[in-house]
Amino acid sequence: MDPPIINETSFSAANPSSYSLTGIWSFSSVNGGRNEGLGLKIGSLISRLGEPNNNRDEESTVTEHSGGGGGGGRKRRDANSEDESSKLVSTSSGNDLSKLNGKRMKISGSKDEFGGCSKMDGEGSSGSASKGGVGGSHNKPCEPPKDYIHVRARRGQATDSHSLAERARREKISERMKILQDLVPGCNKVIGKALVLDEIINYIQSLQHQVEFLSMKLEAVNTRMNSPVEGFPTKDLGPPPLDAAGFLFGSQTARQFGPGSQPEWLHMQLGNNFGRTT
Amino acid sequence: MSPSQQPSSPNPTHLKIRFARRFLRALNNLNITKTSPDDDDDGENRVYRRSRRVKIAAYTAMASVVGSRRAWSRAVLWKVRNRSRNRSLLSVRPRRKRVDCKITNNDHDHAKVFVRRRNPNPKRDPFRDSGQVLKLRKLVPGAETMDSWCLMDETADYIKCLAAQVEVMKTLVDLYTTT
Repeated sequence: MDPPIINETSFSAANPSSYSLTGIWSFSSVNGGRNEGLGLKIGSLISRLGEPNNNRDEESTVTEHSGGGGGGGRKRRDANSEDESSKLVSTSSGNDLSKLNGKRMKISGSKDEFGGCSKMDGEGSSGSASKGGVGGSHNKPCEPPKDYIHVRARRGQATDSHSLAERARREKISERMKILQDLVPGCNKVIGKALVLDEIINYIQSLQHQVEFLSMKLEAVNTRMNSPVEGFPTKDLGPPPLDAAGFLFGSQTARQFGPGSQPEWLHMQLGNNFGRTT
Repeated sequence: MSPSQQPSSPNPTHLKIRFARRFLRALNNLNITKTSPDDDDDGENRVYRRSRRVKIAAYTAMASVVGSRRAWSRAVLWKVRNRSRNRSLLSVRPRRKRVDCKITNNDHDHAKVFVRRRNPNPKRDPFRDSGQVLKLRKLVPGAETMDSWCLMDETADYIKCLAAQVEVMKTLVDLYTTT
C-alpha cells in the first residue's frame, strides 16, 4: 500500500469525529513505521495547505498522541486547550491503541518539528472553538494578535470569551472617548479615563448652567420688551438662512431700541458669532 | 440603538441658524401667551416660571432641530410632549431633574410603560458602575439605558449641540441687552 492514499482518506474528512483515529492507526500497524511518519507529514502538509479548519483536527490528534503516550505534553495540552473534540478522540481511541505508543510518540515528534509556528494557529483556533462550543468558527475574524492568544489560552473558556469581548468593547469606548476629548476644550492634556470623564461632566454641567443662566437673562429681556411683537418673520424665511436670521435679529432690536442705530453692528456681531460675514 | 451608523450632526453653522429660528419663534409664542395664565403669581415665582419656560423652549428647539436621529433629542422631545400632555399634574420642578427621572427608556414603545424605571439592566454593563459614568448618564438625557459606547456617542453629539445652543443664546442676550 502507498501512504498517500491513507493520508488522503484520513485528512480530507471535514469534521474530527468522522476522522477516526482507530482506522488510521490500524492501517499504520499494518504498514511500516517509517512510511507512516512520512505519510503523516505529507498529510499534515496537505491539510495545512488546504482548508484551515483542519488545523484544529491536527491539533486534536497531537493532543491524542501525547495523551496516549502519557508524557508531560499531555498536561501542557490539557492546560492549554480543553477542546471537546480532543477529549472525545482520546477517550475513544485511547484504550486499544496502547501498543503503538512508540510510533505515536515518533509521529507527534515529527509533527512538532514540522510545524512549529503553525501549531500556534492550531492552538488559537482550538481555543476559539472551545469558546464557541462545537462550531466556533465565527470567532476567527476578530482574533487578536498572538500574545493575547497566550493569555487567553492559559485561562479557562469563559474567561477567554469574556476577555475577548471585553477587550473589543474597551477599544470601542476608548476610541469614542478620544472623540469626546477633542470636543471638550482643554481635555486633550488630561490623561486617564477618570479625569477625562470628570472634564466632560464638568463641561456638560457648565453648559447646562449657562443655558439656565442665559434663559433667565432672556426671560428678563423678554419681559422688558413687554409689547409683544406681532411676529418674527420666521414663517416666510427664504433659503439663505443667515441673512434671514440677521435680518430677524436686526429688525427685532431695531424696533426695540430705536430705529436705525444698531443694525450694522448687529450684523457684524452676528457674522462673528456664526463664523460668517453677512 | 446604534447611533454610530447614523449620519452625524449637520454643519454647526446650519445647526445654529436653525436653532435660532426655532428658538425665536418659541420666544415669540411665549411673548404672546405669557400674560394670560399666571397673573396671580407673585414676582419671583413668575420670573422663575418664565425663565424655566424659556429654558424649555431652548432645549425643545435644539432637540427638534436635531430631530429623532439621536437618543438624547428623542428623550427631550418625548419629555416635552409628555409634559404638555399632563401639564396640570406636574409640579414645578427644574427641567433637568424631570428629564432624569422620567425619561428612561425612550427608544422603544415601552417608554410610556416604564416611566420611573431607574436602573433597568444593571448587570449588562460593568462600565456603568463607575461613579462618573453614572453622573454622565444623569446629565445626558435619555442615556440611562444605553451601552457605554452608545453613551459616548450621544454625549459627543449632545456636547456639540449644547455648545451651539449656548453660543446662540449668548448672541441673543447680547443683542437684546446692548444699548
